Amino acid sequence: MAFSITSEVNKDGSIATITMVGEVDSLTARSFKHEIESVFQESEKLGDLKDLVLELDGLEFISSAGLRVLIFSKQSKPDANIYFVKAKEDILDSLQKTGLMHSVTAVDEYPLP
Amino acid sequence: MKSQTFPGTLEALAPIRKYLKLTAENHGFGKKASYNLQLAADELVTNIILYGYEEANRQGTVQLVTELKDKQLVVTIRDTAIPFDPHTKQLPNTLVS
Repeated sequence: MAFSITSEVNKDGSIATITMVGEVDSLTARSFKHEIESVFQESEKLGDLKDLVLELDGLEFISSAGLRVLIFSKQSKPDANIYFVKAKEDILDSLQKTGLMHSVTAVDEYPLP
Repeated sequence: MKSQTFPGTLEALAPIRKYLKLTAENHGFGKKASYNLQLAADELVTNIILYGYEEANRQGTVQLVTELKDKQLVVTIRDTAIPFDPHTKQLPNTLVS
């Protein structure tokens, strides 16, 4: 499945949203990391990042290369919340097994109800 | 027994996962087993490509051999990289902060 990634940062830089569709492996994780770095830079110009929102309804697969980008995100912005929106069970299972679940919040929608 | 050979590049990861997904489905395995197989194979093949080929400045292939044995799908991954035996390597020091 082809991989696509889009992002946007809100006006005051407090919320960065990244939407991923397809599969994150060692090849496509490079685009994921690039997009994360890009939204972090944009957010820093505007203010302080509070929430990193990952829209994952269309994400079908993530390998350890994608999980490493998550760790990088958490290390870069330790005070920001990372939200996994509509992540599939297999994706959340990988987070559970690797102990990364405590670093993210899995939700059905964002903004939170 | 079936065999399929892929180029030893990261671009081959998605086709390799697709091939294994179809193979698992054809043998009647469920979605969860199929996903876990794709994940395990992806990690193994990634290491072959990144460390057996790219880091060693080598080019090669990845051959997948699949066989159903006693209701288990056995996947053998063959590469042409320099052999790596972890038992001959010193364990990493994980206590260094």
